[in-house]
Amino acid sequence: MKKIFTIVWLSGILGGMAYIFWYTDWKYSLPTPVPKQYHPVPVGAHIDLGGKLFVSGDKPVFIHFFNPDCPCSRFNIPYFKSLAKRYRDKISFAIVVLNNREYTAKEIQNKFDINIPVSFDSSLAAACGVYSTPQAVLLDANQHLYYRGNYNKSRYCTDTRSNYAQMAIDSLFASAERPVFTMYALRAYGCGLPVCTQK
Amino acid sequence: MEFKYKKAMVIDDNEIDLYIAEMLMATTGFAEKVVCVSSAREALAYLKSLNADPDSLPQFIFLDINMPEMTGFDFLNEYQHLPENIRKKCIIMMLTTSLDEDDRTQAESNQFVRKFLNKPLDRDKLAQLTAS
Amino acid sequence: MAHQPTYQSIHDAFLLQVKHKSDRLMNYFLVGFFLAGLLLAIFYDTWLIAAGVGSLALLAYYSTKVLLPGSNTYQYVVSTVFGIFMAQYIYQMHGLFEMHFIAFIGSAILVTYQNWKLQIPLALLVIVHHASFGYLQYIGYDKIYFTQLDYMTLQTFIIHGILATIVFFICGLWAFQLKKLNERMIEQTYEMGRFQEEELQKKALLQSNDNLKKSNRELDSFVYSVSHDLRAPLSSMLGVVGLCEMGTLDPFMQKNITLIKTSIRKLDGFIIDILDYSRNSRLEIDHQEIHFSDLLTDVSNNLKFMGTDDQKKVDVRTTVRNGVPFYSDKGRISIILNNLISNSIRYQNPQAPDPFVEINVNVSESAADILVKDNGIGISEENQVKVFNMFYRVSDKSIGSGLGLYIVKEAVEKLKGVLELRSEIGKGTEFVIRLPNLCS
Repeated sequence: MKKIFTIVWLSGILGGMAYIFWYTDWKYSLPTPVPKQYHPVPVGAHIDLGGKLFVSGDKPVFIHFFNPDCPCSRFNIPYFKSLAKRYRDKISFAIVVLNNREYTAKEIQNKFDINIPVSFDSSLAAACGVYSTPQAVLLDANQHLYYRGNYNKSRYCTDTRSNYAQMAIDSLFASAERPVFTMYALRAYGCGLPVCTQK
Repeated sequence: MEFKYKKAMVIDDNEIDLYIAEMLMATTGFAEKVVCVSSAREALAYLKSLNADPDSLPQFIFLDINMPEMTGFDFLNEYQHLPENIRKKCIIMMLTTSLDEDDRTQAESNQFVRKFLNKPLDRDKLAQLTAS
Repeated sequence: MAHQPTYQSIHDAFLLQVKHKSDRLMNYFLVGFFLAGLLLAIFYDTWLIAAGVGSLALLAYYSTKVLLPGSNTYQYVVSTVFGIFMAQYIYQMHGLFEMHFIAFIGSAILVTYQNWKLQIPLALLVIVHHASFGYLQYIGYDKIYFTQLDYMTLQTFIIHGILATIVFFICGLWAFQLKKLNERMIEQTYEMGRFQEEELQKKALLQSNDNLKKSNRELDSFVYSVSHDLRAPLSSMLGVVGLCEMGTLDPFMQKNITLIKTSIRKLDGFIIDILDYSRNSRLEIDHQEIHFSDLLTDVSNNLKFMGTDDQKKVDVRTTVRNGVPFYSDKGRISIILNNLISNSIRYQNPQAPDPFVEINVNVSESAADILVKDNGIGISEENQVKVFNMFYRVSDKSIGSGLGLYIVKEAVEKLKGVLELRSEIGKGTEFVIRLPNLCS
């Protein structure tokens, strides 16, 4: 008798665990809610950096929107680092930190272990139409918006077939047709700004 | 009456056994004189006193084994330290009620003991002695 | 020995000890795992997973322990819990493949329970988890976040499977070996305990044996002293009565004296019998070389009963055939011969013109065959069994104490021999004895 009860009880616990996993996964898969004052910036629009970023003029610009408090952003660090190293010569990389807390540029650069310009100007997010982190924004040499979206389909960059940012870069240099990005790429997920609400 | 031997000595702590021996030897004509001592110590003293006069020594000594203070075997131990002329003269018979085999063996292996006899002493036993 | 522990009880006590020790360790490990989960949550804010799954896992373990305290189900639960923690960490680090090593840590921890079967739930969980997620990835279901690697190829899966199985197998093997080793040790401890018990018992037995021997000797010595003191006055009496006999010719007196002598001899004979009986039953068996001719001569000379005066002299004839040395107990053989020959003399046939007792001894390597034959009055058939009984006398007119043949039988048995009686009333009696050679 006790045995049956124990079996039922343990199954219940197992179910509870499965539920927790599923629930967490579900939350991860939700996109970031679009803020009310969101002003969409279409692809191809000219982004006026306004000298806010110290980048040289004639290379494409890759802006990484980053929030140290956001776990998704933190997870992304090694991936972005590899991207930045790979295309260092061809693209100007920059990081925009969207966070209420004060960080120095040095601290941010230490996190990524690369020496690229860091900005704390959150108006750049609105300028690019970014409302979550981590997000990749790729501007071509003329500072037109080429790509704005997620790095990867899977939240945790595990699917190389869906490394969207990578694909955007590749196609830019190949001067091929801009690939059609699915909602997975364009619908931002991750933490909202500036404080993480989605974990 | 003719006596076989001049003198015999009986060493026994039991009065009655001394009496029996004395009477027996007298009536059977075994010995002319019977000296009765009731302890081995007395016996040794007596023998030593006759050292100067060997002819007065007893020819036969009847020795009991079980005696207080000095047993028959203790007497034999002392006897071997006596002067030779005494030892030459006397023939020792052990006389006892003991059924113990060891006593018999010990007695018969002693060079001074001629025979091992069971009490009581009687006419036939004395007759056997004179015959041998 | 009431307190002697059984093998089973030592075995169970030991198993319980192992279980308790392992359970204590498990408490520490589980708390450690839970805290590690919380630690990992810092990285990517996976607090819900860390707290939720971790505490559910601990709950599963402790609740099973409480619900089914007698069984070891909770150990299987702990095995599963290790697998769950592994999954939890992988998830918390978002597919950090290295977290799979937690499974191996769990596998090693389980060795402490010395039960190879505990590896099974963990192994199953790992394999099923690998297989199902790998398969899901393969078919394109891409909402799985358990690995950062590009989807798991079949080759990868197989290699991982084999290596993981090897680890689980080895841990299971060590658990099994440990158990076997401990069982052997328990057995040895138990055997040693038993052996020591036996040694103690043996010692006690030897001790009591020695004590018995000692008390036997003391008793025999006592009987000897007593008998000696009893016999001394008797011999004096016999001596004085002999003097009386010599001092009278009166037939009336002589007859009276004869009667006195008879009684005294009877009493003396009885005392000797008691002494013989005591010696035979209490003394240890001596091993001496027996020279039968000498022995028979001694016995003849010292016969305890020489016959009444109105009986004829019995002719004692002896024949001894020696082959090899014969070893036995001289004292007891003397007793046997003495009693048998005395009986032959005592119970001679008054009608026989030539009463004799013939003793034949035949010595061989294995035994000595002794035959004591006489032409006395014999023993009737119905009495032939009874004569060996203690204190049995055929009639009131019998002169003996009734102990003689009893002592003979006891002595023969003590020497591990056999005794046979053949007799015909009026004709004579034959005793056939075979005594084993004790030093062959």
